[in-house]
Amino acid sequence: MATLTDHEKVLPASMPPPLAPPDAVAGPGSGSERSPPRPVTPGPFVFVAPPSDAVVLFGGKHLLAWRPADPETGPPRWKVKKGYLELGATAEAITSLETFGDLQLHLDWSAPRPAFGDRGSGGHSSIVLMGGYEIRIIGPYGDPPYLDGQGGVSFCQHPPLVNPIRSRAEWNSLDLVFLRPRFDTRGRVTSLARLTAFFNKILVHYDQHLVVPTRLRRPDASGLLASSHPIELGDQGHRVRFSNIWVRRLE
Amino acid sequence: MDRPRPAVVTPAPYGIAGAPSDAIVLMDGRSLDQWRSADSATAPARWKVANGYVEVRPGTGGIATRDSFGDIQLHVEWRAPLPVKGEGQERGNSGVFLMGTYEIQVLDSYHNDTYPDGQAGSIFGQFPPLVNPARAPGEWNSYDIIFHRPHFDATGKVTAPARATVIFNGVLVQDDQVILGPTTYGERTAYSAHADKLPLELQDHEFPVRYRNIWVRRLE
Repeated sequence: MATLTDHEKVLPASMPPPLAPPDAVAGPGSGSERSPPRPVTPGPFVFVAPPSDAVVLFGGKHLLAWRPADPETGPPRWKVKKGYLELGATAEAITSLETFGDLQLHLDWSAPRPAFGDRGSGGHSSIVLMGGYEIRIIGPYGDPPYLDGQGGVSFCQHPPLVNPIRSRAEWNSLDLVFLRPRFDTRGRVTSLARLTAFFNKILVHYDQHLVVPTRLRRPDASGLLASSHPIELGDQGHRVRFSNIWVRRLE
Repeated sequence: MDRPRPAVVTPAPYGIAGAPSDAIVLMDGRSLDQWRSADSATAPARWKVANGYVEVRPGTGGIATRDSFGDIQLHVEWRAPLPVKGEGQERGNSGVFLMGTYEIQVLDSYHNDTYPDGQAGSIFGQFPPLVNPARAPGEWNSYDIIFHRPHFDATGKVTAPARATVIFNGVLVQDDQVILGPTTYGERTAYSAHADKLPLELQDHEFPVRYRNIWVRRLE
């Protein structure tokens, strides 16, 4: 099995030049001088039921499609409430039992009620694809921590194009098209991971090429090199709510 | 005609998608103020405006926006005619022409066989939709399109082709697809240089297809 070190070793030499302007890939916490994404008020929330070929990961009733990300933590303490799922106040993540490669993913989420935490920490969570590509969810409370960690959804490389978050107490939707990276037999990258994202139906990332894994914590190298991997949700310990999670396989 | 057909997918029930704050509403179903005839900048659009939608009036020609657009996020809702008449391309045919040049096909593709790159959600004559999530005629369908215009150098040579992502009834059907050139029937046509912004057009293909809730966000 590939190790993280192997992965790091093979990535830089074979990477094509970044397609985004250099300041857009400066990394977490950088670039406070950059201007924040323009706020946009989205249209009203619309519930989008899963299409016929989707795998429903959370339909509002149970967590049977998931297991705790860390087996040591025992059964998930997340609460399934009236049609939604609320994260516990302790940091714990859950992982889908099924694995996915290229995908179209839909989920609805809502910020914690009441507001959780202080400035800049009001309702974080994340979706991690292939063990290493993290899309952050950040509630409309307080100031965002930094440019590419804000906007309700972001890879920690690329700020969203605009910021169409709804006010607290409202549901938000997230639609992702994610294509995993491809590697040759020697483990070199032949095509980068790519992301298109709609946040409340507004385009926030278009075919964004992801040069390196975006997860803040140590990425899972075996996942990055695999052709499919579980989806991981939430590890920030904030009471973010989720609902209506479904995935369509694109390969 | 012997190529494999895109898999049929049943989409979620229709839900109207309200325009966001930075969108230009092109069609609210109450007027054609934002539109003119596609054939002449000075002639009015002559399609029927009724009860919250606009219907193709066959034979009056396509309609074009008064405004011009380059890179856009576009939302369009359309409905194939009832009663169902005709087969293949001769059933509920219309089209969304980006920059008046690059067509995302509109067709009643519900239980209606035709060549794959002529189905609803295709980049007409070039790329079939990845799947077929068309709703039944009489039901409203939605397109959410991300379009990036082609770029040309000073000599008129294409330096970056046009690209489109299309989500049809909430289901991905085109993923950052490179468009090969202007839409033409039965042949490939090379790019020819045009303005950075051009009107959006809707096609009159002689079928009473309905449109409503069309809005656009500029991406450049």
